[in-house]
Amino acid sequence: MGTNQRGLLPGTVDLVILQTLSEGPMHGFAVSRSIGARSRGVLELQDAALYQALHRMEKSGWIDAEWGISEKGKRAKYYRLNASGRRQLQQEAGFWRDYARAVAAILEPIVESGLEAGHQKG
Amino acid sequence: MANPFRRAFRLDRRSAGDARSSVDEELAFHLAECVEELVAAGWSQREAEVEARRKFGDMEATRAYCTEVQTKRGREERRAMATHDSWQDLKYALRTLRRTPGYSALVVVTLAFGIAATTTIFSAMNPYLLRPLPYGDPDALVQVNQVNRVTGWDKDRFSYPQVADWAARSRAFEALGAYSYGSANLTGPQGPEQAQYSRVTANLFGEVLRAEPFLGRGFLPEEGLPGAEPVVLLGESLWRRRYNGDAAILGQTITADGVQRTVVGIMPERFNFPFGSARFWLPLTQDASGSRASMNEQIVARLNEGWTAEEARTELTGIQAELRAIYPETDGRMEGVTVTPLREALNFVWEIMSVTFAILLGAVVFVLLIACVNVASLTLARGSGRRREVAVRAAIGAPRGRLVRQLLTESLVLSVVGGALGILLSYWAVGLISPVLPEDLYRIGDIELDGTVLTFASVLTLLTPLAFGLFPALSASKVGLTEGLKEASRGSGGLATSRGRRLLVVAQVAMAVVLITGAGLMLRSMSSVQQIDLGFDAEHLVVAEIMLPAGAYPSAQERLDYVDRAVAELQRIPGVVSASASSWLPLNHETHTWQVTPSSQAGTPTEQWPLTVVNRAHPGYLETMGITLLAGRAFTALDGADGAPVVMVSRSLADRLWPGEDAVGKTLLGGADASEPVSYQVVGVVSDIQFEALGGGEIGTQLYTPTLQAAGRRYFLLARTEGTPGALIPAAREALGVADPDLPVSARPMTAVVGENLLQWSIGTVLLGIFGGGALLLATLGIYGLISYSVSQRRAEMGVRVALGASRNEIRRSVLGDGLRMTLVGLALGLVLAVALARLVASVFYGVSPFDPLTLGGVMALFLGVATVASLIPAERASRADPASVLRME
Repeated sequence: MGTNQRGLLPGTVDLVILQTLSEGPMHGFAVSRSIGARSRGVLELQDAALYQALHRMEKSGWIDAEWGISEKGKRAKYYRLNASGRRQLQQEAGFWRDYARAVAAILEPIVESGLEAGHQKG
Repeated sequence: MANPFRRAFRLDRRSAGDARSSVDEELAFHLAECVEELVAAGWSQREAEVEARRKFGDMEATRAYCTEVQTKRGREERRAMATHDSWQDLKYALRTLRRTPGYSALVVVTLAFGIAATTTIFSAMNPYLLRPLPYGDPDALVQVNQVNRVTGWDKDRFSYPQVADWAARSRAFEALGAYSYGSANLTGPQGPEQAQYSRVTANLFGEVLRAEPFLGRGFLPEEGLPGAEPVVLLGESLWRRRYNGDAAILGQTITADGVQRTVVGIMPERFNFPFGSARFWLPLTQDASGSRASMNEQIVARLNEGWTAEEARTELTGIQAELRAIYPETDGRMEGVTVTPLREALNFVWEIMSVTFAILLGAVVFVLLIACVNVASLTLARGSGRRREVAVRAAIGAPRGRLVRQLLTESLVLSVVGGALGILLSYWAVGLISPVLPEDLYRIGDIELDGTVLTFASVLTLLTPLAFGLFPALSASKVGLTEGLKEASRGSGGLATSRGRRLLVVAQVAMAVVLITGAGLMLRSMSSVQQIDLGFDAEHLVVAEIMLPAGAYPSAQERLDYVDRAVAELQRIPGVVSASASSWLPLNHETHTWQVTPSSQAGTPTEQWPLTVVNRAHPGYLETMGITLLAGRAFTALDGADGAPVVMVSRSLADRLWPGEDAVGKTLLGGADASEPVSYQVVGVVSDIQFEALGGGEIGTQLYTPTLQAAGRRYFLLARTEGTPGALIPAAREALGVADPDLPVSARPMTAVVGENLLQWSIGTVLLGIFGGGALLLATLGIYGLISYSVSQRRAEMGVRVALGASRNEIRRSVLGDGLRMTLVGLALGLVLAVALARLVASVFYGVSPFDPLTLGGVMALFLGVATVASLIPAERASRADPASVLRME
């Protein structure tokens, strides 16, 4: 694990999972790999946290679960975003966009003064 | 990715075990995928497994968390599913029942009658037998009585000195009090009024009964002492009606029997002691030095904790033995003690009533069962018509339990509607019966549908679907798929169904037979009782009860003058043939007795002197009552205080005292207290009359003394009319108003007094008759329905038989025989059961044996007749079967 890898910020776990599931039904392993791939390894979600979040969101009624057959022909539990999950995703995403924009606006002078140079290597 | 949901199977969360294995499987899948990925990247299998687990993080916490979430969800889902199913069942049931309104209405009405009958009888028993007494901790309350050695009466009373001795010596009771009762005239600006009251010891309400006035206070100990200021406690109903519910009455005085009494408190409406018509209470004079011989008081006591009634009785029997040795003349007359629970003791007719209610409750339970059987039979028939529907539902995968549940839901819907209707009917029926039941019988509260009764009715309502719906539901759901689908087109019931219905009809007939037999035996008892020769003529006779208060009539002469005046006024009424007066009234549940012996046998011990009922008769008594003078003469105006003491004796008393001799002119010794007898000369012998309650046993003996020689306070004024007694009552009141305008009068026809004696049989006859009639109707419908149904099922067979040359008569006979066979089986079972039950409660019947041939024969004829008619109609239809059309239909 390199220094450029960061654990997810609290409150973003649900957002990331919901966004991933918005592409279609998947099982837990696929969700985990999809998040890893899309963040190019920057965002790491621990599997333990992922599964707890999936079950918690299933209980909240944002996602539905059903057993199905994986691409390799094995029994796997699939999760699918439902209408209420979609609403939740829009709400969370809107909040994060506003939040990120606000944080970026505050960081703007620092970026211009080149203090961020060290990070550009990655 | 292929859409996995198309191939999805149901996520299983039925149990906690399922939830755990589901979570395990999911996590195992994840680990396996990780390992596969790592192995592909060149890791060894073992290292890959370790790495996958490491990367996962806290596996156990995740497993525990996920399992808990899934278990909880499973529970919620199951609950939601059950609610959903019930709701579905209900909607489905309503839809199905609406489609068969005839069946639904019939079931609802049948159940409504069954539940109404049961609820009504239960609500009538409730205040007498069930509702708790309106006193604190009432189970510890008992009434104590002595057994009279001479009369054998086991409810004999005490004098106050005896009460005081028993209270001082006994350790069995936490508190022991006494009461007596009587009737008094209330006078004042509100007008005269006669009311019953009770005299109670000062401790009776507070310590023994633990009942308090809701206004004012109870009696103080000193108010029971001789010479205390007169006080009174009013009952709420009297206070509201007569004194307008005005609290200012406390501390003021009212006049009872001419004595001014200060009102100290008001007892609440629901308080009732010692019977419902006791309107006020006075302190019992607690004079331990008073007469030991005048035994008018009843003892009521509260058992100490740890004492049983039987232990108390043993202790009291010992105390009685000690006192018998000290006071042989008074206490020596008693030998034995009875200790009775207060509820039983306060109810004069406890034994009759508890048996009667047991019979009636049994009868209505039968009615309800018959109703259930009827509905079961209908439901069974309907179930056989629904085999196709059931088979289809089973075919598309409804488990049997679900089908049974669905069918039971239909029954439940019907029974809830029926129960609601039944409760409404019961409100109406209770309104009809409550005025019939005598008011002065001890009961707690009114006959009404209170919480207890409604709970009872609701439980009954919820139980009936099991009684009538379960068997048909099980039978209907037990359907072979192919057989059901195939057979369904003809709607045939199948052999099992028709055997089931046959059994139900037999049961119905048997239960109806029991009820009708019971009604018949009651009716025969009543007519036996009515045929009892009263010895007097109760028709055309009016009787008015009056009480002469000490205030207005202090001397014996004044009281006798009043009686003379009242009788003269009555005689003046047009249409009155004769009028007279007496001190007691036959069949009025009270007797005054003496012990008597011929003067020639004065030496025999008083214990052996025969006991006789005594009445005081005014001149004209015999002709007014319609009693025959057999020898000698009747009393005249000359048999007054200054004349020689004379008596008339009834024929059986004359035979007992002077067998084979002429009683007229003989002398006898007798009196209320046999230890101080007086000598009387017999002037007349009269016919025996029925003095004690009807049906209570042998006719007794009577002795009459002249009213003019012993003036009392209470009189029954009698007037015989040519017309109807009802028409005479207003005129009699008016006439008595002339004799004394301040005196309250209660007048009624003598036939009403006789009627009260018949009450248990008339109630029994009417109610069993109604229930039995209903049961007979239901059983008839049952026979008719089943026979018609089986005829319709056998049309093809009949057609074939006719085609093969069977005569119409043969067909008719075979169908009729079918109906009669079922009836005969039911009849036989019913009669055996009826006789067995009747022997169990033989005490309620009078002058009729449980084997009464008239009753049993009548019942047989009735049922066979009805069954014949019920079978004949379908038999006729069967015999007209047209072979051609039937065969074509096939």
